Amino acid sequence: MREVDWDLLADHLGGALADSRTERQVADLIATDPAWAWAASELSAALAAVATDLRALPDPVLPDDVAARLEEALSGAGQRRGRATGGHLAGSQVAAAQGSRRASRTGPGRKAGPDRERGPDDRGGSRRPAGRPASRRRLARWGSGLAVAAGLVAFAAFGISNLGGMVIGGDDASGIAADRGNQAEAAPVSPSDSEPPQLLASGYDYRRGELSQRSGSSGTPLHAPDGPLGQPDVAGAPDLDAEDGSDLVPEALRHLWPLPEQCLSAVIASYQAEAVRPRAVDFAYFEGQPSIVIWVTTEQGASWVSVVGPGCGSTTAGIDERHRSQLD
Amino acid sequence: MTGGAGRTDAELLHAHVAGDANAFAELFARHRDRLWAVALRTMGDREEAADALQDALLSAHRAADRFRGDSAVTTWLHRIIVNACLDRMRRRRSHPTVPLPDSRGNDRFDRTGVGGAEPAAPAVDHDTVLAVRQALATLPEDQRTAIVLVDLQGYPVAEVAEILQVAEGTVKSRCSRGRARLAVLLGHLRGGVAPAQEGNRDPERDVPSRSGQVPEGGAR
Repeated sequence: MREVDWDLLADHLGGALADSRTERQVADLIATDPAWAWAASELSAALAAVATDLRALPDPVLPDDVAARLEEALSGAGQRRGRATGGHLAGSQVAAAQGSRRASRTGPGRKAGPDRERGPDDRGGSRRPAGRPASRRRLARWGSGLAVAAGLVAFAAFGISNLGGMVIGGDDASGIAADRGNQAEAAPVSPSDSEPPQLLASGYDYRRGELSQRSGSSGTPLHAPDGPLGQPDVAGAPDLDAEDGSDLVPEALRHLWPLPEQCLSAVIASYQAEAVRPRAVDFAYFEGQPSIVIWVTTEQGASWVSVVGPGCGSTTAGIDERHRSQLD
Repeated sequence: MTGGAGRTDAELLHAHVAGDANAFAELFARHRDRLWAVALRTMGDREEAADALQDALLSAHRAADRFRGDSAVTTWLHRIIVNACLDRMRRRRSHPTVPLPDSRGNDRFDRTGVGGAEPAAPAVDHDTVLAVRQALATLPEDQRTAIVLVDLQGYPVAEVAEILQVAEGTVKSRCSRGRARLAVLLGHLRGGVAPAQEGNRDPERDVPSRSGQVPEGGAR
């Protein structure tokens, strides 16, 4: 006698097995095995009782105080949108690294197949001059409007001057961030500081141990001969604009693509150090989970990497940090 | 559905993308109770639901230009809300998720102290409501979100499948197994012969003779 499998019975009663071989097996068992027949009858009655219980729940109505809070949050978002530099995605390109480790992964964010069939010719000609060095293929820019200078100066361009309202893990942090934001307004921006961070949607699955290894002389993917951490070069990878690049971004991170301004400023503030600059941002995976990997350098020349999750930058979640390490 | 302004959901969303400062708020106002219900019923806690809904709305507000129109706007909004809830739930892994009653015996689901009933609503069995909410809160996330959307919100399985981006059979399985687990928790199945709390299909102990054709490939 086969032991009663309640999960299968539930599937059967809920119509989840429709037309499969399993469905026929379960139906046979119910018809021929008294234990299964009894269990099916019991479960059926119990499910009806649950349905009654669920109907007892009253329908929630949005409370006024929550409505007011949301309205305020949305109007803040609207104001920030209005001040954002127009056309900030102009000229930005996202290079997609075909990391070998990602080859077997499928899922909603991985539309790598159809998109990758297209070559430069489909766009009426290559966007890049022939002979462009391979390492520059993975360079992406947010455009001159998003030049990231020392620390939080960059974000003044987006009207993020009031950081007091952003919780970055404590009052101290937000106080520091606000002070830095105020001071930064007066700080001159030197030309060398104006390089915007590299933007990637590499699809790479980073591992903890890899992230403490320096990948280039400046500790960023910019100067790595191959990918950020030595994944194969991607000669021939088509340049995709930010619009297409979003297909390569893991689903859970798409709401932060391509410029996670609140997230980035929160991560920078969390270092509580001077002149922390983001150097590269990769919308990818960390130990299998959709994560944003952010390389920063400090004024003292130290290089760090932060790995954050989809919650990064939301008001009370802070940075949703999953990992942080210094590059040696 | 068209409101006083006569614009469809999609038109409002496009207007928002085009710079209409009021369009998004109008879109939200149109669906706010439903969206709040999903957040509240999924999170089981009023404050966390407000946080999750805010996360979701800000995300939708920013990401509106990426709405491709291959699903209804409400489907897209629901998907963002469910994802925001799941993100928060996963981040609070180390904290209890069961909405324990406060000192007055009311759960943190609402603050009215009347088990969530509106003043004008018919009398609600407070004990049942509390028990059901507590039971829902202990379900695995996947089963809970499926039950909230199908059984509580009443959305068709096909639409829920789109919201959750899984197969319809998967939605049905999550609902069925979730309901079975609720049946145990709510005392509708006798002890000793009921499904184990963890589900009786442990992937590590799977017996080779089983067909293995489980819609989701294993119990949760």
